[in-house]
Amino acid sequence: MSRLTDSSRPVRWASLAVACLLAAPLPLGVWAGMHLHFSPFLALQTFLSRAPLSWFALPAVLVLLPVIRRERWFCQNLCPTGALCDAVSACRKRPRSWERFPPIHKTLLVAALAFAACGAPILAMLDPMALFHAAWSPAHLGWTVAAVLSATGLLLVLSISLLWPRLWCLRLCPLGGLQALAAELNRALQRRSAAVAAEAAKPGLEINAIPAPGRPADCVAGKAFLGRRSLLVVIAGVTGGLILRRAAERRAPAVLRPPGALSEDRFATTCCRCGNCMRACPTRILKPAVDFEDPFGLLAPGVRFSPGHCLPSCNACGHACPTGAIVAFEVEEKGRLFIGTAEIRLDECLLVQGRECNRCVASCGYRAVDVSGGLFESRPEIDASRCVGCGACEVACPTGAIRIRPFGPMVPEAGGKGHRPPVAGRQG
Amino acid sequence: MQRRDFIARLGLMAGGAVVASRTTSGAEAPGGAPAKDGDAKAAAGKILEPAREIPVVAQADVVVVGAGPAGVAAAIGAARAGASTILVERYNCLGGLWTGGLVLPLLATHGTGPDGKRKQVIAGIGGEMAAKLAKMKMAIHEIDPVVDPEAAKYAMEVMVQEAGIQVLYHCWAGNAVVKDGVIEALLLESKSGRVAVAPKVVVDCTGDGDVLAWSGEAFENMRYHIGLVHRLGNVDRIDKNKPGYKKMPIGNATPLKSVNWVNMNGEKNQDGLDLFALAKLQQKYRIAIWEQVEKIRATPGHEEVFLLEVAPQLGVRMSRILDGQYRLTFEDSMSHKAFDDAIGVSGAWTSVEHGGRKVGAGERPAWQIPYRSLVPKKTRNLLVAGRCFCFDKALVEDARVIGTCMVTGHGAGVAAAVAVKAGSSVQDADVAKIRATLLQQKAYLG
Repeated sequence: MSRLTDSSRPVRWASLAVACLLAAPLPLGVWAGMHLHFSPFLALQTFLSRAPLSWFALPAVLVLLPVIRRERWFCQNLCPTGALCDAVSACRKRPRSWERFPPIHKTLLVAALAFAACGAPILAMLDPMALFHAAWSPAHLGWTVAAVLSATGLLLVLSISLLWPRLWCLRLCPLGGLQALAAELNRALQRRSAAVAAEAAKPGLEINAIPAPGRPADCVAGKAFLGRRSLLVVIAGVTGGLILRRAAERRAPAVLRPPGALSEDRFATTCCRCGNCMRACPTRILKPAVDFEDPFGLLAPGVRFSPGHCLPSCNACGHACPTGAIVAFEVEEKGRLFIGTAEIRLDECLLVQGRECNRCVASCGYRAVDVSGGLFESRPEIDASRCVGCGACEVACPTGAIRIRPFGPMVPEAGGKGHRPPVAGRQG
Repeated sequence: MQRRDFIARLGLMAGGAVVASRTTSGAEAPGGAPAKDGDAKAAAGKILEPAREIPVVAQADVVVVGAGPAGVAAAIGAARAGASTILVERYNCLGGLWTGGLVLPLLATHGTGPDGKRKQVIAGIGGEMAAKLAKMKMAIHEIDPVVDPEAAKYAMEVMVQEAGIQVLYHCWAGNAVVKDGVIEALLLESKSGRVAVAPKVVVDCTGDGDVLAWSGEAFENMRYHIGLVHRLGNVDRIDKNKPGYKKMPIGNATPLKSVNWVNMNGEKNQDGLDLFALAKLQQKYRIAIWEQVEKIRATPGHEEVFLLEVAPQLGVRMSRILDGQYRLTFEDSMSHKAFDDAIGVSGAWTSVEHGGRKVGAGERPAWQIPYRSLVPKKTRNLLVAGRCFCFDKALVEDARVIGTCMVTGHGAGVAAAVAVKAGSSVQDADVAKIRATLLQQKAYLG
């Protein structure tokens, strides 16, 4: 077995470097974590889950083309987790065999797709690229509980690779499973034409120890896989997905989600926890939620208006989201993408105390705050139909009298984009 | 405009053309075509005022129009720099909205320097006033002090008299005579009739930017909310233990323990230059304030409270903003921007949202005000100070307050004196000399 740190793979190290740059705490805006848009595993789930697919899924489709012709092309060239796993695997002097493990990756893939078809693509968080990006969270958020939890995924994968070299890439990774399956389907098609079949039987060159197409062990596993077992997995996946959806629908966490987020039940199960939105956000108001009472929403991005607010001119989070959990929205749409709504504790309001202040009125980019009341009972008032909960007033208020509160259960707007308050001003 | 037409006819009938000339003077070039036959004529809702001789009753190096915080600082600054100075005021006291308008807090006294330390930036004449009032125990709070209006009027009167300034109270500046970009005379309405004063340099501290408008400078009329402040007496005699006591909005403390000042946000989006709107608001507020105080007095525990005073001056927060040589922006104020021609530094009194982040009042940078933002584009002997100097509307909350007015006033007054002494236009005034003189007068320039 040849060393994987082989210098004959400059493309791989270059792409790892690029991935690091895109994941690093740099002001990249929409480009933060661009790498994730190349994952066909995520794109396929987004497609199946009927979350709005944007043009950003195009790279993933393009990646699939060479993968069909050359299995593991993606792992060998583009996957940053793959590169890291191989580097870790190379540390081990006496490698243990991964071949005795069943091809769990394909099972995971089918299960993930079944979940996605139920509208709960929660296994998207096993995407190796998402894991890689989530691992950078401490660099963005500091060593908070949420950041450390976000980073554990990649650490687990690397630990597995240290114990059983290449086990993750070749037997566990669902993105690897997708490629294996794609290659198998391709081979099955090829076998139909007898002329090609003979050629295909020849063992290919062993590149970087990742098996070339047609490796016997893989084929045997594949055959078994495409049979009865896959049906069981699909049934189990669909059942699990439906149960998940029901459970996710029943909860109503008091948390603010980014603008353009899917309705709460779907958001928590669609978000792959890659943290892209958090690093794309120029005001750094997206933070992973750590509410252990709401396990479905764990580590999904929540909005905290401290110290910034959601800029009316920004749509970075939507474009950075690889799963469509946050829809890729346009800036012009922000006026109807509700995060929550502003609530003013009037007893703390300077204006109500007869002091000179109009910070909330001046800061509102949506003209949702106005002064009302008589001459001596002046008070700011929120127009709930205009207030999207951007948090500008919460940030601007000198006495901290304003808080953005989430709506109750979200009602997805027609077309699946954005939320509308169920009843204006109703307590959530 | 039927209303205006009616007023014009009324003016004609009464044989007086004063009201009508005021409504049209802003739109027409000063000293416009005189009437041929010397009679006032009504034509298309306008009348031509007959030409007449106006006596020039006074001459001075510097004429300051408006004796608000900016005007008083400007006049004292100019006089102390050696210029003969006239200060024109329409009411009977110094201090403008600060005293006559009962807007008692001297806001924006403090700001944070680039070193991160918050310090007092309102120095010079404004600082002197604040120190005087603090010594008289007629100011409360060290930062953004609230003062007693009568004490402030007295303190300023003393300073003005000591500086040898000729104050023309009860005079309303009505127009400017401008020739080739130079104001040759200011026309004042007074008990002696219409008179003229001949200035070398005019400082427009009217707040509404009246002089800059007569001079043909470009401006924007910003609509904002207009209020009317009043003061309550006996607030220390409120009996909170009385059965049925309820907390009422009784305003905020002043240096006199029995007196509170009560702010009014007032009607929003008002035109501070519309005489009809101003009159209507005044009428409405007069009634509303009395009835509000009656409501307070009828509340158990508040029987002793009484309406001490309604401000003589309507609280017009904003009106004209000069289109000057440099428009000071909110961004400038948030970035410690240093200007070579800074004539003063102002502070901040409220927290803001900047770049998507909250910046508390205590952390906000002190901001330098460049001389160019007081200088008009065309007129060669006019400077503008107070809330009508050239700034971006995003900066309005900090640009319009008393402290900033004192800073721009002091800078403009000294600059006017320097320009007069050198015989230069305000555009060509020696900025180094202005800054040196300001520093001599203990101004803080950053």
